[in-house]
Amino acid sequence: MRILIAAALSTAFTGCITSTAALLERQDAASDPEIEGAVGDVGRVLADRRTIEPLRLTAAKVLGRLRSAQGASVLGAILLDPQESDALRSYAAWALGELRDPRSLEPLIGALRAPLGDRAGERVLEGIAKHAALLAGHDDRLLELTEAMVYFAGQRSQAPPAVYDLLSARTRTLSVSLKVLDHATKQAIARRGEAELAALYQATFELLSRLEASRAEITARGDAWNTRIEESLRAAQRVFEAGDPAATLLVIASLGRLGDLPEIGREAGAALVGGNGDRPRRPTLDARAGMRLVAAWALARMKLHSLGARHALLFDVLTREATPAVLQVLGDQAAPAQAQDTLQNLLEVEVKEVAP
Amino acid sequence: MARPRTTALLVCITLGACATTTPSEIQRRETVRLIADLTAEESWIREEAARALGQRQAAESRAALEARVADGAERSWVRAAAADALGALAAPQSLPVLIGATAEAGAAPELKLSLIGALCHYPTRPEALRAIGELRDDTDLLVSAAAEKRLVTRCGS
Repeated sequence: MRILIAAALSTAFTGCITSTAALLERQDAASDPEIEGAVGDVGRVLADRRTIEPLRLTAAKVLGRLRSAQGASVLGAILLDPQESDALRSYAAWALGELRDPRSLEPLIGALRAPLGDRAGERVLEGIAKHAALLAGHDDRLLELTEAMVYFAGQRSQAPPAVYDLLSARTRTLSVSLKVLDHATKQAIARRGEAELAALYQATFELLSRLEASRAEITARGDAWNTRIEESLRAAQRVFEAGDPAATLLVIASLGRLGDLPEIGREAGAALVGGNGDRPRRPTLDARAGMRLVAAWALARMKLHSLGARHALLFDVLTREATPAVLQVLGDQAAPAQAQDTLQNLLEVEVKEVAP
Repeated sequence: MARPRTTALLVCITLGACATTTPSEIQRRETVRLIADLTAEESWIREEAARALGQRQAAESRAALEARVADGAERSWVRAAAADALGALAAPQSLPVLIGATAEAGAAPELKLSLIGALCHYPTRPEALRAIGELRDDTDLLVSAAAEKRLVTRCGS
């Protein structure tokens, strides 16, 4: 009797669709009323948790193929529900991507902040990539997406899928990255939770990676980059305030890689140790030898362009440093054996300048 | 009295016929049926038929598959499945149809992705690589990325 009642209820709720073939036939709906009817019928199958999973997977696929934005709500509900299987959520993400509508974009971006399996996560990113044309030129949307992507990447224990980089390269402008980092820094300072620190690290990485990827353009069109460089370095400097060792180390290492550029070296040195190399709590005075080592390496790379870097090397590293490994970094960074030792020469000049 | 004998004879002939039907003959009949299914009313049957023909690499289905790809009124998933199947066949005669579909205005991204894959079965044909190259500027991010990747790797993995 129970079985009969369940079957009757199931039939009533699913609009008589009880086979894969019957579901798949709905994807051939052609006119608007047919499509509307099909979305309703198929949506009910998808939403009904009592329906067997293979039928629900097919329902999600058919909704994607119907390409009606009316299907976005039921697909979004499945995607955002962590109780549903990873397979079903993957299908829902794929189908939402096929809709290419603002109503389907919203749950896809929202899903990046929800717990997601690897497969569903990849499908979500692909789904968002299908909406790329809708995102272009909408800075608020791009910012929302970028922050969600940063959160998504920060929650993963392994590198995000390739489509993440693809999407990131297309949607993220430097100004968006700056805003994301600014927001992540504020959140990390205010809460200091694991998720906030992960987001801070990811946002820092993505801004500075973008800057590093622009090396050739910065060299070719330095003046055009002045404002962006200043803003980026200010944002990077604020990361220190969050007090997260991993993010701090990342900033120092990235500034070191960029610091050999004349357009960046001076500002990078100021961001690290201050314009005169006397900023309080500078990394060259850090209690951790590893932090001092990376700082010494970074400052040595920017020494030609930054007075602050030279002062910090002279007064903090050469004068006070006792760890051989840190001092060795300076040796490694000096000019090749046959060439003139630029670092030593510069430091000698500094000594003469500051000597009483 | 003649009736049972006739029945027995018919059974005997039928069994004999069955016994002499070779696996290749069965496969041929299935292929004929799958080719007929490419024009079925339901798009999911046409799609499944195209996929099955691609898996079988049934050369005799080439013209029917080309017709599916070339039909602009056909559902995009059927066209995509047919393009995949033509890629598996990799017959030189199919190349113009595949290239023609890449240049079609308004073709679905799903079809273009399949076409890129299919054209990669002709890595030594410059016109195939040129057609993939045209898709590098596609407005769909996934299509343009797929085209770029396939060109950079010369259709390798």
